[in-house]
Amino acid sequence: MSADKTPIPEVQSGFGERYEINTKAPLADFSTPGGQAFMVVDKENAERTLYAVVQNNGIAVRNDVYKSLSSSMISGMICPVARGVMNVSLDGRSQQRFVTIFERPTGGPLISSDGKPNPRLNPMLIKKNIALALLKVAVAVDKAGFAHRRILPTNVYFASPTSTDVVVGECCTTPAGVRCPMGAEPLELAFADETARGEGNTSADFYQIGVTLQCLNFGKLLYAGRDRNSFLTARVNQTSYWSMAGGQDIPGTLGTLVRGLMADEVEERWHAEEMVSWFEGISNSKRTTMKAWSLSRPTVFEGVSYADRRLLADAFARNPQKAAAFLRSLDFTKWIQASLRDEVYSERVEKALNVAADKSVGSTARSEMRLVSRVCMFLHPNGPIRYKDVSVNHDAIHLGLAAAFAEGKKSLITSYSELFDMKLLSSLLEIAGRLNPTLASSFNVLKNLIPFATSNQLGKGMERVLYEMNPGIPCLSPRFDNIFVASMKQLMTSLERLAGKGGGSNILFDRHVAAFCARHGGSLDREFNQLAAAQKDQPKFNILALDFFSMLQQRYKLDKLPNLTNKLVENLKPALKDLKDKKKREEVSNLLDKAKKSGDLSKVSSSVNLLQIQAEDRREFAAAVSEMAFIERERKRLTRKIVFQDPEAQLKGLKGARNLSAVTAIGLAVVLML
Amino acid sequence: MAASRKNAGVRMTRKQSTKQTLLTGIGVALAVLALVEWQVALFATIGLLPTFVLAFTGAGAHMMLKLQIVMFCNITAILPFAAQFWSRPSEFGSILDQLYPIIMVYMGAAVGYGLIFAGPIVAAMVLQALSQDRVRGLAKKRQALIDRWGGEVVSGGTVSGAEPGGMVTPPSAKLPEK
Repeated sequence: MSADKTPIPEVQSGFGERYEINTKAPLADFSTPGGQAFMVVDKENAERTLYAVVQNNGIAVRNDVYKSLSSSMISGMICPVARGVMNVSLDGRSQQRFVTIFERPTGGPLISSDGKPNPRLNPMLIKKNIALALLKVAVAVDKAGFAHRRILPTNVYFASPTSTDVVVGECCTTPAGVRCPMGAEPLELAFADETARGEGNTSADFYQIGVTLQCLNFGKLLYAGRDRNSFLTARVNQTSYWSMAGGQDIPGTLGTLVRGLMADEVEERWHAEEMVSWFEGISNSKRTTMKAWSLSRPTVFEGVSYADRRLLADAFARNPQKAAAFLRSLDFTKWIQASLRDEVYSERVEKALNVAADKSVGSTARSEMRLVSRVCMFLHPNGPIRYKDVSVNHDAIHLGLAAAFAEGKKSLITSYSELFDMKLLSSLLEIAGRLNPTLASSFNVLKNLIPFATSNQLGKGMERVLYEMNPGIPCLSPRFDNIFVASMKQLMTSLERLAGKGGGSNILFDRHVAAFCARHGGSLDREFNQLAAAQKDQPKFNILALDFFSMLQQRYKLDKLPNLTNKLVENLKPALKDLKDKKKREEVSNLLDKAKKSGDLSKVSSSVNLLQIQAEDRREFAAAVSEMAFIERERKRLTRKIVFQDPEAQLKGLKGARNLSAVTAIGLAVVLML
Repeated sequence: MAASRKNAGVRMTRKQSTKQTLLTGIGVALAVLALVEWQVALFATIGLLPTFVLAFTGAGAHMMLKLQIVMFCNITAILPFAAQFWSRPSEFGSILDQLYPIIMVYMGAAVGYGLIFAGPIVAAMVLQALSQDRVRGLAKKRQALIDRWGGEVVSGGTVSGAEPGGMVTPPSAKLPEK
C-alpha cells in the first residue's frame, strides 16, 4: 500500500519557502481540533511573532471566516496572516499540509489546556478588561457576519507578558462547535455529537463568554473531565450556570453577568445590549425557567425517571433498540396525552410518528430506528436529528459526515447514509417543521443529495455526498494521506507524482478520487456513467480513464504529465492485447509509444481511438472466424477420397458422358447431312 | 419430413413427364419419318430398341441422363445406316439380311451403357485432382488468417487465456469495498 501513497512534492512551495515551521516546537496552547500549532518564522520579517496551525486533513477550515478576517481584521482577536500548502515534517515523516499562519500573542492563555490558570488573573481584571474584550470581539464577529464559536478560557490570551490586554484566539481552523467541550456549548446545541453541533449564532458566543468568565472566576476549567450524560442531566435539571460550578455562585455583579450570559433559554440569554447595560451598572437579571420542556408525568425508561423531554429523547437516542421496544409497549397516544398535557397532538403528527404500526408487518431494525428518530424529534423538536448512533444538528450533517470519514468510522457513515431517506426526512419535517422553521431548508439540501447517497455507482455514494456538502474539504483518499489535495489541479499533479512512483493503478476505482473528481471536475456525469458501466471490463475502463484524464488535462490547462501519461498508456496494454489483429496491435502499440513520449494525454487520446479500433477489430475478427470456418469445412470436404459412387462424380460423369454422346450424335448428323 | 416427401414426389412426376415427352418426341419423329421413308423409320425403330427398353425398364438416380446417353449413342450408330437407307432404299432388305447394321447399332447402345459406367469414374478422378489444387489454395488462405489473427481464429474466438503470442487475458478488475 505504501507504493500507493502519493509522495510529497520534491520542491517546497513559495509559501513554504517564506514560512519556516519548527515542528520540534509545538504550541499546545494554540492547537485546535482542526490542527496542531507550531512556532514559525517569517523569513521576510523574522521579528514577527507568529505561529502556524498545520491543518488535519479530515477537518475543513472555515473558509468564509478566513476570508472575512483576512480582508478586515478584528481588533482583540487573533487573525490569520497567511495560509497555503507546504511540506512539513510531522510524526517523523514529510507531509504536505495546509497551513494557516497567525500572529502569536506572547502572554499565554488565561487558563492553559492542562487547566492551570494564568497567575496574572485577578477578579478586577476579569470583570473589567477581559469581559469587555470578549464583548467587543463577540460584537465584532457578529457584525462581520459569523459567530466565533470558540470563545474558551483556553483560547483567550494575554497579548504580551506584561500587558493586561487580552486577545481571543482564532476560529477559522476548526468548523464551528467541532470538538468544543460540551459544557462550553449552549444547551440548545449541546445535545448533538461533538463533531456535529452546527454553526450556532452570536447567542452561542455570549454563552461561551459566560462560561469563560465563570471558569476564570473559579480559576479552572469547570467543564473538563465531566461525564457527558450526567453533566447534561445536571445542566437540564439545575441550569448550566449552577451545574457548571457545582452549585457555587459567583458573588457580586460578575455573578449576575455570568448567570445572564449562561441562561439556557436563548430568549433569556444576555447579549451585547444587556452586557453593555451591565457595564453601565444596570442589571437586567432574569430567572430562567424550564417549563416548556417538562413532562407532566415523569417517564421511567431503563430504570431512570425522566421529567424532561430533551433528556428522554437523549436517553432514547443512546439506546434506540430498547427505546423502540419501550415505545411499542406503550399505548402511545395515552402516554403522550398524560405526559405532554400542553402539547397539541394533532392527527397529522400522530400519522407522521406512526408508532402504532404493527411490529410484525414489515418491521425491520431500520424501521425501528426510524421510529425512535421520529419520537425523539417529536420530544425535542429543535434538538438534533437522532438516528442510530448519530445525533446531529440539522445544519451540521456535513461536519459530522466529514468527521466520520476522517476517522474511518464505517458504521457512522452508514448511519449518515440512512438519513438520506425521503420518507424519514418528510416525517421528521412533518413532526418538527412548525417548531423548527430552519429544518425545511436544511432538509431540502439533503433531499437533493438523496440520488447520490443511495447510489453505489462510481463518482456517487456517500463519498460524493461528503464532497458535495463540504466543498472545501481535501480529498480523503488513503492514497493522499501524506498530501493535501483540494482542487482538480492539485489532484492531477498529485496523480502525476503518484504515477512517477509506480502507484496509481486503477486510480478511478478509488471511490474518494472518483467522488472528488465528480464534485470538483464540473459536469462529468456522462463520463462517470460510462466509467461505471465499464467497471467490470478493465481494458475498456482503462481506455475511458485515459480519455477522462485527457479531458481534465485540457480543461485545467495543465502542463505535460509524463508519468501519468506513461501509467495510463501502460494500463492500456491489456486493451491492446485484446486486439486480435496482430498487425494492428503493433501499429497501435507504436503509435501509443510515440504519443506517450509527449507526456500529453490529449495527444494520446486523439491519436489513438482505441475504442473504435477495438470495435473494428471485433467486427473484422468475427468475419475472419466465419471465413476460417468456411475454409475448414471446404478443406474437410475436399481432402476426402472421391470415388465414382459420389453423387457429384456420378452427376458430373453422367453429364459429361451425355454431352459427349450428344455432341457426337449431332456432329455426325451434320456431317452426314452435308 | 412430409414436405421433403412431397418434393421428392414432385421431382419424380417431373422426370416421368420429361421421359414421356422425350419418348413422344421420338415416336412423332419416327411416325413423320415413316410417312417420308418407311424403311428408315423401321430401321430406326428397330435400332432404338435398347433405348426403349431402358426407357421402360430403367429406374434409379439420373435416369434421364442415362437414357439420353444411351439414346445419343444409339442415334450416333443408327445415323450412318439411316443415311444409306435414305439414299438407297432398295438396299434395305439385302443390308438388313446381313444383321451387320443391327449389331453395329446395338453396339452403339452398348457404348452408351459403357459411358454410363465410365463417366463417373473419370469424373471422380478429375474432381480429385481439382480438389487437391483447391486444398492447396485454401491452406495458404488459412495460414494467412492465422498469421494475422492468431490461433484463436481457428477456434472461433472461444479460447481464453494464453494465445500463441503468450498473451494472457487480463483479470477483471475488482471493486474495492465501499
